[in-house]
Amino acid sequence: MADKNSEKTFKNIYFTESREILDSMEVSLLALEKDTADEESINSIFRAAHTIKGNSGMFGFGRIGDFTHVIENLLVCVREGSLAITANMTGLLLECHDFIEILLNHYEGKEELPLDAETEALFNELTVRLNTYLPGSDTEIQSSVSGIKNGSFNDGTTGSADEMYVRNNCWHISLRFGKNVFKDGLDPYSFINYLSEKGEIQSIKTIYEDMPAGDKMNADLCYLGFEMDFKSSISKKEIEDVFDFVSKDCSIKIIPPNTSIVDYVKLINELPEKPMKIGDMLREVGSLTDGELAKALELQSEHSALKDQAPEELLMGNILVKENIIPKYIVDAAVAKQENIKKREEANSKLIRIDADKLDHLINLIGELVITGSNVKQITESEDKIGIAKAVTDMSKLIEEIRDSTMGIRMVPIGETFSRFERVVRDLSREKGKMIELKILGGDTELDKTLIDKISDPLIHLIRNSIDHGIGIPSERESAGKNGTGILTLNAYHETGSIVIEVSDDGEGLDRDKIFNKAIEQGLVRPDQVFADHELYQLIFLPGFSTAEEVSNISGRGVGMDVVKKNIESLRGNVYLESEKGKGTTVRIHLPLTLAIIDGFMVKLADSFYVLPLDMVTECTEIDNEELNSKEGGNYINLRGDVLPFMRMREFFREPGEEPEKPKVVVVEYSRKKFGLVVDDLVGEFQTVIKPMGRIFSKLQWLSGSTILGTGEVAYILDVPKLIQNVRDFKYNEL
Amino acid sequence: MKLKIIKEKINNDMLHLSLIGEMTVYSAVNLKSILLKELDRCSGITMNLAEISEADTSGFQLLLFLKREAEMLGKSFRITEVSPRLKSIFTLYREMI
Repeated sequence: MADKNSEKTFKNIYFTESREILDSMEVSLLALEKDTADEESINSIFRAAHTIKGNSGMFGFGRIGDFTHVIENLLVCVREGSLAITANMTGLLLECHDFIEILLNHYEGKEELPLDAETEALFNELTVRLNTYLPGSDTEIQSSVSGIKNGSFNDGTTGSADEMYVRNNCWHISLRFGKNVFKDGLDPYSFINYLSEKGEIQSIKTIYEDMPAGDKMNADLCYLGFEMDFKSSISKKEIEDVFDFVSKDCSIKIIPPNTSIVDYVKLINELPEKPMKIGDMLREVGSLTDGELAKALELQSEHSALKDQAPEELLMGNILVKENIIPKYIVDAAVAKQENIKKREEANSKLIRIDADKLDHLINLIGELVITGSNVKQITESEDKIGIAKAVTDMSKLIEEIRDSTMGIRMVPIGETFSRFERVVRDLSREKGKMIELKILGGDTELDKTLIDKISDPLIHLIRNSIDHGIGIPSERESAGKNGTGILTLNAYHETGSIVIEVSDDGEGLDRDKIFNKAIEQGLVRPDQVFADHELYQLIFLPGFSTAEEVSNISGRGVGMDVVKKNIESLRGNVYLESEKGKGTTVRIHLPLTLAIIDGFMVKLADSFYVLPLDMVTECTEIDNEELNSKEGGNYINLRGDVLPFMRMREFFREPGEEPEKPKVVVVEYSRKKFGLVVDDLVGEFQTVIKPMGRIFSKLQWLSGSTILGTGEVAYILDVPKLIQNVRDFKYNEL
Repeated sequence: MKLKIIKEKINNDMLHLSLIGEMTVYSAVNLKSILLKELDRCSGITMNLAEISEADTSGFQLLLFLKREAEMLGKSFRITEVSPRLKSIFTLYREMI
């Protein structure tokens, strides 16, 4: 069992590593495309192909090895200088890169199955195309091509057999016990019982057709056989081992899960009972569906027809079956495939690569903590109060640092994700006949691994939009007085407690009037309503509105923007749109930086405590009660000459009673806007562990969670963006 | 042979048998001929197997056989009670007799 596990682990590592190599190969290929003489890129592509080839051989994925070998051959020629890189060649190599990924996915999902016909065809096509670049005699190429063609012929047959795979995630086991089993002191019960401990016998059927009737039946002979469906993750070998002891006295036939229907045909042929009878049993046991059974019997009758005519041919057929159609069972091929894939995906998403420096730093800090801990223990035995206080302070400082660096471990620079989009931009712009350059800024900005994973789909969508509709074709751009090559910029940076990701283009920009008209048409706004540009643009994110064709024809943006927005909001983020007609469009995504633990700023209101994310607090100030009361609804104060809208939290939370004489104002900033929150008192900084609110409170949007204070009291964590929204709505309501 | 058979005649030709002891390969041949004879002579058998302390697959096979014989002769064959040991065999083979 341990061996099997470690093999699995190694395979997982192989797949993860191969994908990483592919990623870097892609980057090099794209670089090579820009500069075909770039030796460093050629070398790194060569190394990538070589490493994948070697590793694939090690795990027995020969086809991947074969394929990368051809790529390697080509690159050897390039390195030797006998072949020059052309644009077509890099294009082809990119296709090959994609194909290796297809192969990897195939072998990760169902390594026991042969490639399907489509993949086979692509395999051959690409190999042939790669070979045409290779110098050397024509015959050589010919022979290698025909060699591959032969390969494809054989595997082609397996490919077509693919359609006849039986969808059944159980092993099918046929047992026919020998007559003397009982006399030899063996009991089938114990073997089958043992088997049932290794998995789950989904169904089992006792076969006793051969048992004679009446006096002829000899009760100490065994006439029994069993057909069963067995669900388990053990290997074929292990199943055979179960019956090892009885193997001389028993004929065992094991069909792996999801196998070719031909295996069942073989089984029907080999079992002593009549085909129909066995067919019925297989159906009853649940190994085959009606349709599959019909197919199997049809095939079977073809076989026996052959037998009558030409016995030799049947023999040939048998050999073919043996050689090609029986899948190579890999040792641990038994688990139901889909479940397997799912499990692997889960396992993959649980893996995370950590910068060794970060880990060292963390270990270092833990070491310090241990020392400080023993120091605290020692010092508490003395009466040195100041010493105790100091040691405790040291320790809590360390804990804070550890928290920070632990959170930091999950942080990954976004640059890697950004550079992955280079391919998307390249492919799409070619497809659309546009020239687009991707500019990446702020690639070092770090954000949480899970956030990165989840943000990449919406980002691709936005990039597609920009290429599709934002940036025009070169002639259009030139006639508008712009450079023919459009620029798409991806930018990431930190801003008060959040991370901002921008996707901007220098394209056409949004057409304000058209959007406005469309919105009126759809009854979303009234013609007399006045909107600021950014408010109007937010309409694009409404479902239904976005899919309207007119809008997407004119201004571009649209399809699925509501989905983008929903995705981003599910990450507690926000999305804004800025656009200037003729100059371009910028989509700005704000994402929270924080996860489970935040630095909070605690305030007091009546008897309750509230926590604001410290990152969003820019300053605190004091104000006279009289000054507040004199505002008469216009909730603005003068902050060093700036207008600062504020909200009286007592009013908001409907707390009875008056504010103290000198209430405090906490100034928070979010997405470049400042607001004041009037509270009774400031408590101070506070490390906050966010606990989610129950579902009952899900309507309370301005609460993002709660936390438990050292005293056991509960404090609410305020969701500043939502609060700000509320301040605005408040204002509108009053007007 | 560690097996005791208690024979009871219920009305007419119906026979009720209580088996006590072991239904293993050691007793199978004898038990088969006894039971087959009894089946011949009556119009139906009910069996109480609650006291079967030990059984193996040959016992299971014997019961399958008797059931099939009874069916062929157009007689009834029914098991009224089974012992835990027999029950575990029936459960594994998912066979109701």
